[in-house]
Order: sequence, then structure tokens, then C-alpha cells
Amino acid sequence: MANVNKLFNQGKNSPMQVLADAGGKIVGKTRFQKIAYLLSEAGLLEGYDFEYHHYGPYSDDLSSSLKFASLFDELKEEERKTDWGGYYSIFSLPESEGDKIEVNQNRSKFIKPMLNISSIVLELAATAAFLAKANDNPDDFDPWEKTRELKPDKATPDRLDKAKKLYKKILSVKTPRQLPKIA
Amino acid sequence: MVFNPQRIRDPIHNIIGFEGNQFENMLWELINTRPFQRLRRVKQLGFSDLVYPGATHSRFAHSVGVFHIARRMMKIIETHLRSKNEFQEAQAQHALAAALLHDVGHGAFSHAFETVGKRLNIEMAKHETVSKKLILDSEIADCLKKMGAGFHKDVADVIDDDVSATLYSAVISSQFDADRLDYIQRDRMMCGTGHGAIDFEWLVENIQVGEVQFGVDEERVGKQQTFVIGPKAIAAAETFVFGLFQLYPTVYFHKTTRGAEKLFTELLVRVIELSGNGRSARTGLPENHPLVQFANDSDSIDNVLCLDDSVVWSALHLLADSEDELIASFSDRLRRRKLYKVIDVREEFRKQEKDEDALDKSCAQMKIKIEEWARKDSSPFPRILVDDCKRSPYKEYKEEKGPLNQINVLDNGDLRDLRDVSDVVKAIKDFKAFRVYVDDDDQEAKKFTNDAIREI
Repeated sequence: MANVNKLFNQGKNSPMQVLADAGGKIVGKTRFQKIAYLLSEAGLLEGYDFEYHHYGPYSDDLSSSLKFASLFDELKEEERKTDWGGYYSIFSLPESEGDKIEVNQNRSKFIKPMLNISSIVLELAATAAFLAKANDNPDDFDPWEKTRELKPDKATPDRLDKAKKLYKKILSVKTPRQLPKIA
Repeated sequence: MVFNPQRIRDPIHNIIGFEGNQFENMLWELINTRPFQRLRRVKQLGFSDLVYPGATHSRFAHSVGVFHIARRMMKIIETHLRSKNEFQEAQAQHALAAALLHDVGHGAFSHAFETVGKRLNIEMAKHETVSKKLILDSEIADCLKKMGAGFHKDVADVIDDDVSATLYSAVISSQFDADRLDYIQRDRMMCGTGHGAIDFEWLVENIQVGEVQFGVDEERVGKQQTFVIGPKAIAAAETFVFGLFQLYPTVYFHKTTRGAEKLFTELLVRVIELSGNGRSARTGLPENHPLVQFANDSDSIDNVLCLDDSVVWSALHLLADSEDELIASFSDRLRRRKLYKVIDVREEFRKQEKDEDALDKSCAQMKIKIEEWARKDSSPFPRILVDDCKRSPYKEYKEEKGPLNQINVLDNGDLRDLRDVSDVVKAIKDFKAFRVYVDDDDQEAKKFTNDAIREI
């Protein structure tokens, strides 16, 4: 059998380690992508390139890693139907694997505020961070306003407010790299 | 001011007229710009004419056809919104101009060129990037500005994935968009294949505007207006999905076409790498050749516009005399259509009666084995080329997709996903292929591949 470990990132950069640091479960592909993006920007995760997609920062590498890790039973992806008509995924570690991975406490602290908040709010926060980083003139640019322009259906005043509060929380965690100071 | 109407004859739509008004006159001027005329020299299906000799139609003809269908679909939106006094003429014009211009940034051999760009990290090989740049800053922008100072920016927003979709943009970006409705008809006709026929008139006749729900992960966001179909068009929608299902293996991902694309990709990667490293003399091309100029400055829009299919085809004779072994060999193979031979690995695994998951696992393992083999191989060019591709004719509504990718059927006032009302659509699986291409005389590479298939 070929060495299938080459199909997905390993060790501290593996999707399984992110899951372990998140307490063993992450609900939603969008949530997984945005957590991984903010971890990467904070210098807590390596090996994934992110681009701007319809749902904000997105990594093809992460999507592929999740697909292969699930295919070879390193993690579980369960699909469920939503009440709005679509399907969403729940990622978790197999019971046999969960205890084998040592949790990184700093990453765990960073991820925690992103686990139980609305995925829409998390998407807005990650999008604002992405736009702030991509813009050359940070002083003349309001990433939250731009987020509102790009996502008029999602960026209600209430959600934007929650997104800023969320962002403030994760900014307060000490990380190897400083996230854009936009909240 | 008097504007003259114009007409184009088209093999699919017959007469495509441009009315004598300011807006359609401006569109006619767009067609006559250099970037748009360049599309005459970019074939819609790249290397497909190596399989189907008739498939030489251009992105120029396709783009005009897309505009024609988009205008017809816009009438559906107009009828729907005028009844509520909500129709916005300006937004409709932005979407129609975008429909005409949606492919203007495609490079030589379209998607194969984008693969080259991805390998070499060249931003200006992405057709979306080039289209946006041309719309915002070129003679195309100058034309668009005749409709108003910010008109060009609004058109760019319609084709920009970053900007939130609207009902108007659904004419060029949805499951039943004008792009798909043109290419599915044009490509099959020009290929001469009997597959993929759709009931276009009945489908369009039954398209309506509806509001579909969308969400992020498990959470509902709201509703979005887009195209839906009436219940009498379920069979026509099935034919549309089934048409894509048939055209993926027989046209878009035909094994021979893909084999030619693989050689083209390796060839262009090497030419651009050598030229960009100041070693263009080794390629066989002169310093002022468009490929060398592009390699030296891919950010220049003029260098991008100088590249098209004909430039690459005509370069093959020079490239065949290259000092570089890969360039000489692969360019000669392309001009003679002496391609690498395919081994359909996924089909070989299927013969072992593996289920879909087992097939995916086996193909993934095969890919690793080939990479390991290639790393140890000292040949000056790749001896095994891999084609790993997947397309979904129609999928269930997943969170990462978005509401515009679904076909919704209006059923007594409620909307139902086509998968929920059609057993045949529900049964359609993704098209997946894992093939490798090797020189027919390379017994060692063939033996390695066949042994690996048996071992996995």
C-alpha cells in the first residue's frame, strides 16, 4: 500500500490536530475553513493557501486534506440535512483516534470562541480579516464596511457587531503572528 | 443620434440581432474591439478538434450566443419585475454586457492555459482576472463608459465572484445560465455528436423567477431570487442534466483531448520557465515571440492579448527544433497528433469490482505511487502524465455550493429540488476519471503502471 499520509497534512498541521484542538468536533465546512484561515493568519497553522471565494477565505488544500483524511478514516465526516433545504457536514475524530492526539492548549484557546458562534458571524469576521490583509492602504480602508458591501444579505448590523466582538476575543489570545488589528 | 441595427448569422440561433439603440450599439462596438476579436482565435473546446474535426468553433461565436440567450432570459426577469414595478434597466444592461464579455479573458486553449498558470503561479493566466482587467481598463472600458462613468465597474461586478449575486446576474451565473444553455447546444452540434441534446425552447418557455432559501453550514441566511422551472419542464430539466452527464466523458473530458492537454501543459510550462529564466534561446523561439514576451512580463495586458491558439499552433514548428528535449518532443507530438497512450486506471480498478470508495482510495494510492516513481526517474521529461478529474452533472444542495447551483421546481407554490422530484437525476453519479498517459514505446513506464494497478 502506498503511503497515504502524503494525501493530507500531517502532525501539528493536520486537520485531525485542528479537530483535537477544537475538542474533537467541528460543525460545518464553512466553520472549519474560517477557523483554519484565522489559525493560519495567527501563525498557528501552516501548509494551507487561502483565496477569496464566495463564502470568504477558502483553501483548496484544506478541502482536499479533509476529503482524503475522511476517505482513509482518519476523521469522520457526517452529512446532515438542514431545515433550509441544503446539507451540512459534521467533522469529528474517530473514537479510537481522539485520545491519541495531544491537544495544543494555545490553539484550543484561540479556537474556542469560534465553535459555538453562528457560522455566518464567523464568516464575516474571517472575511474582514482577509480584506484587511489584502488591502494596501489599511488607514483609508474599512474592512467591515467592505464586508457589508460584499455580503449584504449576511452582514446585518447585529451580525457585524457580533463578528467584531468575536474578532476582539480571538485578538486577545497571544499568538505567534499578529492578526490585523481591526477590532 | 441614429444608431444602426446589426445582425450576425449563427449556426445555433440563426439571426442574432443588435437593435438600433444606444446600448446595443455600444455592445456592437465592444464586439469590434481588439480583445473581443481575439476570441475568434481562441477555440471554445481547445484540443477537441483532434477528436471531433468539426469542433473548431470559437469563443467569439459562443460569447455572442451567450448574449443572445441572456437577452431572452432577461425578458423573463423583466416581465416578472415590471409587474411589481421593480425592474431596473441599468442592472439588466450591466448583466447583458457581462454576458457578452464573460469569456473575453480566456487564454490560448482556455482551461489548459489556466492549468499552466496554476503550475507557475501566474495570476494573468486566470480568465476571470484578465476579463476583469479588460473590462476596467482597456478599450473595452472606454466603450462601456459611453453608457455612464461607472458603467464598466458595474459590469465588472457582475462577473466578479467576490460580489454578491443578484437575480440579474443569474442570467450568466446559475444552473440554467446563458453560458451553459449556449455551450451545451453549440458544443454538441459542432462536435457532430448525437449525445447531449436538450429541449431548449421548452426549457426557456418554462423558466420563471422564484425565491430559494440559502444558508451557511446549518444556519439559514434568507432567500434569494433566481430562475426556477415550472412542473411541466421536469423532463426537459432531466434531459439537460443527463446531457451534461453524457458530454463530460464523450466531449469535455474525452481521453484523447485530455491527453493532448497534458502534453500542451508540460510543453508550455517548460517554454515559459526557460524563457522567464533568460534561456529563451533554448526554446527555439525568438526573443520577440509572444510566448517569450508573456514569460518575461505576464502582468502586461498587451502580452496577454498577443497570445491565442493560433500563436501556439504556429510556434510548434519552431519549438520542434528546440535544444530542449521536452520542448522538441512534445511540440512535435502535438503537431503530428502522436499523443501519449492512455491507460484508464479507474476503469481497470472498476474491473476488480471495487465500490466507489474503494475506487477513490485505489486512485489516490496510485497517484502517490506514480509521484514516487517519477521522483526516482532521471528522464529529462515526464514519462507518465496523470489526469485526475471529477465533475458533477447535478448534486444535492451542499453548503459550499449556494442556491444558484440548484434546479428548483415550482410545485403548487412550493419549491422542490430537482433531485427530489426526479429519480433519474437522483441516480446520476459524479463523473470521475483517473487516467495515465505514457509513450506507447515506453515499455518500462507501461509495465510500472500495470504492475501498480495489480498490486493496489
